Amino acid sequence: MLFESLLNVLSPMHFLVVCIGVFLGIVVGAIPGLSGSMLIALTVPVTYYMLSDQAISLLVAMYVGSIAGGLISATLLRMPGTPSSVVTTLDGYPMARDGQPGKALGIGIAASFAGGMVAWVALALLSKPLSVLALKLTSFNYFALIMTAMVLIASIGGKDLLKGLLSGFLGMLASMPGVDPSVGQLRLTFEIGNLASGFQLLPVLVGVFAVSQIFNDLLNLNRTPDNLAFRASGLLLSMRDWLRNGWNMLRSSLIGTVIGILPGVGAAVGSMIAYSTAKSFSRTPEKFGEGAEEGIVAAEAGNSSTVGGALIPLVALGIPGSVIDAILIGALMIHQIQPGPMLFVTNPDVIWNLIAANLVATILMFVMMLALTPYIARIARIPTGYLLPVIMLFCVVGTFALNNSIFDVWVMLAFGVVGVLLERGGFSLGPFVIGYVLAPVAEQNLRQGLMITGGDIGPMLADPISLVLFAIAIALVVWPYAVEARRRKVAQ
Amino acid sequence: MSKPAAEVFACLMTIMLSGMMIYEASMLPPGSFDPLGSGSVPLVTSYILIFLALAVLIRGVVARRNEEGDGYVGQRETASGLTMVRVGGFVSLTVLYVALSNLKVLHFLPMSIGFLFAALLLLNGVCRRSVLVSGVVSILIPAALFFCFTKFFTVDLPGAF
Repeated sequence: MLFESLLNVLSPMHFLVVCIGVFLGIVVGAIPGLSGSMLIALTVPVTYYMLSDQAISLLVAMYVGSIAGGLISATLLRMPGTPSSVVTTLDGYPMARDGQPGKALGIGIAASFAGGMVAWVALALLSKPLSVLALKLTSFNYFALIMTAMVLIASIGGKDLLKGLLSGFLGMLASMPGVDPSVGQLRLTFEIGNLASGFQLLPVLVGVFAVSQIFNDLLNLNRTPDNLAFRASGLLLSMRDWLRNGWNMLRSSLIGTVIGILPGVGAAVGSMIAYSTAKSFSRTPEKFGEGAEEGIVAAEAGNSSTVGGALIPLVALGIPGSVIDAILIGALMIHQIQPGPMLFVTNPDVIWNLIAANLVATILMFVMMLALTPYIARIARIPTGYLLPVIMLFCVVGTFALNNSIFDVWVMLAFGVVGVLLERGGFSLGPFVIGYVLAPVAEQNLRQGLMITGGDIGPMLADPISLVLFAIAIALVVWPYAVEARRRKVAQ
Repeated sequence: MSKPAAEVFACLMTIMLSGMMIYEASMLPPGSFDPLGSGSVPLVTSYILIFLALAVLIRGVVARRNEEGDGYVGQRETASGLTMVRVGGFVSLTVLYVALSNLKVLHFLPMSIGFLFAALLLLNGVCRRSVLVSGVVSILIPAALFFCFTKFFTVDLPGAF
């Protein structure tokens, strides 16, 4: 099946789509202020008119490209193109400033490629067995799994547990107006006709990610990045460089893959943990932050491997491993594909196509980054002031085009304001979107379980799997407070 | 808006929205064959949200009191006047553009060209170079979008036809 899917992805038209996706992803990832989630949310309406396999490949290719592209601006402009490249800036920029921009980028590109490949192997090997296991879960187990994932997203993915939980539950509430997913009754519509079908996924996604980012970028228009000249020497690594960094690449890639599998944690945390692990294992930790090769390798392998890692729970369980995965789930639903453990049974072609596209996109990313970095570095310097109005026009047109509805455009703007407000108040947006996507599935499973047990919640609490999952969720909530209380006690 | 103000505003909005949802959800009939009914999950979610918003609010108030007690005054994020003009102008232009699209006052092309040109000049200042670049971009992009959506995707774009 994988081989057939690979042949499908390599067919001329499909391959062109993947090339475009990787290229746009790298460019957007390289431009400070624009992000992969913004690009992918904006592209979803266009994919509505594409074949579903090509549409998913395009989005996966953009995902791979956007995570890798952040390396360019992090190294040359000291301005991470994506949040996941923040750690790359620590060593990438000093190395480039010391006259080795080509080498800094070359190491980063190689590490991104290694990270992508390791994570792809995990994706190809683990997804199916995990989905087979997931098929054995009951409705209550699945509900418990989603709620635990929500708490995990809020506690590890965000900076503040309370705010993360609030953001997640707010996202859940936003998904509830419209038709009740279990019995088909209208609810929470406030007698507004347009709300009968609820807040559509796309306006919410575009609003929260693209529009809110435009508003935030408007506040930072005067930022001037440091601007280093690009020299290509050292871009291609020698065999000795590969061997010297091989163990670090593998370790950081494995860390990134595991972090990616955890729901909602994302590439930024993956690169951070890989970086600090590399530092603690290094013989020269004092060089970290001053242009250490090991630092760039760890950061880039760590963030790129989260892409494949994060796709594992999406493919196997229908639970997004990252914010972009939440958008991918939305794209699958727009194409009438229901994400979840049944996906390997109902649409195996879609899943294997996604896995094959991830491999091809990772290889293409490596080739394109090596070949096009000098040119992309120039594009990254386009003033944001020229980009923001154009992106806003794309947001309006894309959102309108999905249902020919101007109401959706107003919804998009409203959720843009919600996004700005939440971000400025220190609430992370990841839990909001993941809550929005997962709430209907969680509610459906809870109610389905209760219908089977005749409204008795006892079987859920007696089930060992649900019990363990709830215990993990409670521990995640209580743990930070327990640690804080202990710290205070010790201080006293 | 400073971070504490945005935090307070977000929490108050959450409480208000949750209150509205509780009102709407409590009007729904109880479930028959489905033990929970349509209103239970939104009700519980709204109550949890009110609890979380109150917790964030109280924690914020306590933290700020402690800061004041320690003589620490948090750094206040301020935006320059020019930035505020740009943000306000851009938001107003966007709302105007969507409202005109809603009312179908003008065809998509002139409306979008006008919006893009005005927004580009607002963000990049009025000089010969920016007028030239803005002019070219604001004609090319809407024209390309119009062509793609109407010819390839056969979708009518917002505005009068």
